[in-house]
Amino acid sequence: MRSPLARRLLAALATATLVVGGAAGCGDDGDADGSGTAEGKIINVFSGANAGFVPNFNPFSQNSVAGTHSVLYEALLYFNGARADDVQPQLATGYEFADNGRTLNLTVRDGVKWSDGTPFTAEDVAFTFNLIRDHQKINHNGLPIVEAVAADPTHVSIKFSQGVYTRLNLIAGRIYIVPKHLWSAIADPSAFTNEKPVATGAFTVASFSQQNYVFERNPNYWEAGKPKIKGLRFHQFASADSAIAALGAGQLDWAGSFIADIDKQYVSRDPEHNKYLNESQLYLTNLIPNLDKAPFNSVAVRKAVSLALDRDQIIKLAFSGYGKHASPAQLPRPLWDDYIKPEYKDRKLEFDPARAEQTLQQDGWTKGADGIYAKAGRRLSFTVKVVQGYNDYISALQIMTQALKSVGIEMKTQEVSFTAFSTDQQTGDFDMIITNLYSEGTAYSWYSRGFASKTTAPLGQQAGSNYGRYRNPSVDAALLVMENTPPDQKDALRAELFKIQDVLVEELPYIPIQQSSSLIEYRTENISNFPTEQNHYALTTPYNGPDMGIVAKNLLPAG
Amino acid sequence: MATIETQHDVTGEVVPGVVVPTGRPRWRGLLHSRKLVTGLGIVGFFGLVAVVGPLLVGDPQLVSDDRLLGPSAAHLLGTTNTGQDVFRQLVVATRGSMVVGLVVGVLATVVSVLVGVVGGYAGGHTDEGLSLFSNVFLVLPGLPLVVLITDYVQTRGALAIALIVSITAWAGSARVLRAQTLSLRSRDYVDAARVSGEPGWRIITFEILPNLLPLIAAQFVFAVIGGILTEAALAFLGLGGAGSWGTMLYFAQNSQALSLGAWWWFVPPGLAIALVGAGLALINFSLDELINPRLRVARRDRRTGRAR
Repeated sequence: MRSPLARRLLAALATATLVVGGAAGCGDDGDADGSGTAEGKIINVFSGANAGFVPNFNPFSQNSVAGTHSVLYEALLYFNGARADDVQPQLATGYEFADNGRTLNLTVRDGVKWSDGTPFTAEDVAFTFNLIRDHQKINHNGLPIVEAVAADPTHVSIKFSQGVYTRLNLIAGRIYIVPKHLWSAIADPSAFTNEKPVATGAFTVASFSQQNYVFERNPNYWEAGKPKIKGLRFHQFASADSAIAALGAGQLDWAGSFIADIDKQYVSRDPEHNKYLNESQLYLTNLIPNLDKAPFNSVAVRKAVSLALDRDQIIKLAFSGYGKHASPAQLPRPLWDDYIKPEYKDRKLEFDPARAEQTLQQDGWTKGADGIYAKAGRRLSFTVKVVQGYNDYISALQIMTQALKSVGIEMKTQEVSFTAFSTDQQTGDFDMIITNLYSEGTAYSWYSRGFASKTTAPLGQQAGSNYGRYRNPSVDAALLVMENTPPDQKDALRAELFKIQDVLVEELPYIPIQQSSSLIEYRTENISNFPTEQNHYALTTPYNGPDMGIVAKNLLPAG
Repeated sequence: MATIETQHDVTGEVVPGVVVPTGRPRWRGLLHSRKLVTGLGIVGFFGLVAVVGPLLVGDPQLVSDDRLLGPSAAHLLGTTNTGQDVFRQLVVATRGSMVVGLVVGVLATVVSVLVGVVGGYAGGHTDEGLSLFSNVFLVLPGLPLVVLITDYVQTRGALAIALIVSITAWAGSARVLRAQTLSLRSRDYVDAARVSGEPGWRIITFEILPNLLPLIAAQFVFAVIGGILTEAALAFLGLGGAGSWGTMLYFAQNSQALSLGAWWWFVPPGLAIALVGAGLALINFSLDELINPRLRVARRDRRTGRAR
C-alpha cells in the first residue's frame, strides 16, 4: 500500500489541477499509419500513479514502477491470482521437491534470451537466489535460502534450511530472475534503480519521462506469437476525478481506479466498449478485536457484535455497493472455493439484532439505565481505531456505531495517523481495529498470517501479522501438518483447512465485514481477450504483481 | 475632546498617536463603518450557529438509504453518499471550524504579544533571542510542517489541531508588535514612567499595551482567519479531527461528489469557509483603517453628496 499521507496530500493538492492536469499526453501515440488497430497502437494504462514517475525498474525494490514485475522481469512459474491451483510454466518448465520440501529442483526453459541478446540459463536463476540470500534487505519474504546451484544450463537446485512446501508461490511465483552478467557487478541490489533494465519479459522499456513511460513489444520473446499488442503506455493522474474524466473520454484502455456509481460515471458513456471487472479476491475487511483483553476475550461478545451488523447496509452505503459478503471461513471466494468446507461456502454471517441481545444476556450481561449492557460493573463499551482519512472505513464505523447502539453496545471511533495505527496494531494497543487481511497467495498463508501463534506476540511486543493475538492449538497443529504436506496432495491439505475453518466458525476470533473490492476498468475499442469472470486467466489489477504481465502478453488487438 | 499627536515611524508610516484618555472618538467612528458592521454580522451569525446550532439539529452521522439526494424539504441541503443529512453536518461542522479558529486566534495572539512586546521593550540580548526565535518560525514552511506534525499526533480533536496550527501562526504578528513596541518605547511618557521607577511589567501593561490594542485586535482577527483556513486545508488532506467544514469537503472529494454532480455536498461548506473568511477580513480592514488613517476613504454625506 502506498503511504496514505502522500497519497492524500497529492490527491488534495491535485484538485487544483483537476481540469488542467487531466489527460495531457493521452490519445495520440504518433500512430503513423492511422489505422487505429492495437497492432499499430500502444494501449494506455493507469495503475493508480498520482505523482511524477521516478525511474526505478529494480524488481527487488518496493518503489519500482508498475510493470517492472512480470511485464519486464519474469518469475519461474505463474500462480494465477484469480483461480486457485492454476499454475503456468514461465521461465521454469517443471519443478519437483526433494528432501521433505527442503530442496526445490527446477527445469529451466531453454532458448530464452535476455533483452540484450545474452542467453538466459539456470546460472541466472541460481545467481538470483544466492543474491537474495546474501542481501537480506531484498529477502522480503524471509526465504530460508541455503544455496542455489545450477547443475547444467537447464537445471537448478535450490536448498533451504527448512521445508518450503507452503512457500512455492513465494519462491517460484514472486522472485523475479535478474541477469547474472549485469547484476553481479551491483554492490547493493536494494538501492539500485536499474534505469536501463535488461530482462526476459514480453516488453522492453521504449521511453521514460516523469509524465509517462512506454513499454514496447519484445521481438525476441520466448513465447511464440506473443505479445500481440504493440506496447503499453503508463499514465498518471493527479486525482481520481481526472482519471475518471480520462476514462469517460475513452483515453484509457486499462485502469484500476475506484469510481463511485461506475455505471453512471463510466459504463453509460460508451456502453458498447466500457467494461469493468470487480476484483474482490484480494482483501477481507475485518473488525479485529484484541483477544488478549476484555471484553473481546469473550466469544459471546464477539458473536453479539457480529449479529448486530447488517452487512448488506454497510456494503451498500460505506463501500459503494461493490464489496461482497465474506465467508465465515475467512477465505476469499470464489478463488478458494475448492478449499472451503461445503457447508460454509454459501453461509453468510447472520444479521439478527434480537439474537445479539439474547447472546449477551445468556453470557450474564444486563442492560443498564443508559441502555448499554454491563457485567460485573463494566459497561460494554469499546473503541475502534481506524486510520485517519480512510473515509470508507470511517463511514462503515458510523453505520456500525448506530447498529450496535440499538442492541446496547457502545462503540466509539478513534481516528489515528497511519504511523500510529501501524505501531498500535503491532503492539496490540487497541480494543479493536478495522483493517484488511490479505495473504501471500495461498490458503495456508491466509490462516498462517491471520491466526497462527507464531505470527503473533504478547501484548506490548510486535506481532508479525496476527494482530488480534489469536492463539489456538488445533489451528497451529493443522498449519504444521500443512507445512509438511507437498502442495500436490490437495485432499490432505483440504482436510487440515476444514479443521481450521471449523474452529474459526465456532470461535469467530475476528468479525468479517466484506470482501473488499478493486474495480478494474477496460475498454474493448482497441483490445480484446481481456480476462472476464468466465475466463479469469489472470488477476486484472494493473499494479505490480505477477498477473499484470500475463494480461499484457495475452491481450489481442480488437477486431 | 481628545488630543492626538500624529507620529511617524522609521518608514514614514503614520503610527497611532498617543491618546490622552478623554474619550475615544475613533472607536466611536468605527461603529459607523459599514465594513465592520457587515463583518461582525457575518461572523456573529456563524458564531451563533456554532454555539446553539448543534443543539437544535440531530445526529449528523445518522445514515439512511436516501443516498445522494438533492436539496428538498426533508433534507434542506440534500444527502451524502451514505445518506447523511448535509445540513446537519454543516451546522455541526460550523462549531468545529469556529472553535479551532477562536482557539488559534487566542493562542497565537497571546504568544505574539509575549514574544513581540516583551522583546521589543526589553531590547538587548532578550530582544535578539526572541527575534531569532520568531524569525525561525517565520521562515518555517507553515502548512507542510503542520501536516507533518499532525500526521504524528496520535489522536486529534479540535483542541489538538488548534494547538498544532498555532505553532506557526504567531510569528508574523510577533514581528509587527515588536516593531510597534520599539517605536512606542522611546516615547516621552514611557521614559517618564521609567524614570519615576515603575517596573517594566507595569510599563508594558499600562503604558504600551493600551496603545497596541487596535493592532493586537487586527492581528487576532488575522490569526482567526489563518486558523480556520489552515484547519480546513488539513482536514481536506484527511488530517482533520475537528469535524469541520474541511472534513466535509474531504469526504465529498473522496466520494467523488464533483464527478457525481452532488454540488449540494461540497458547495455549502466551501461557501461557509469563504463567507467567514470574508467577514473576518472585513473586520480586519476596518481595524486597519483605525490604525492607519491614510487607509480611510472619505465617506460621502448621503444628503449633500459632499465628502465629509
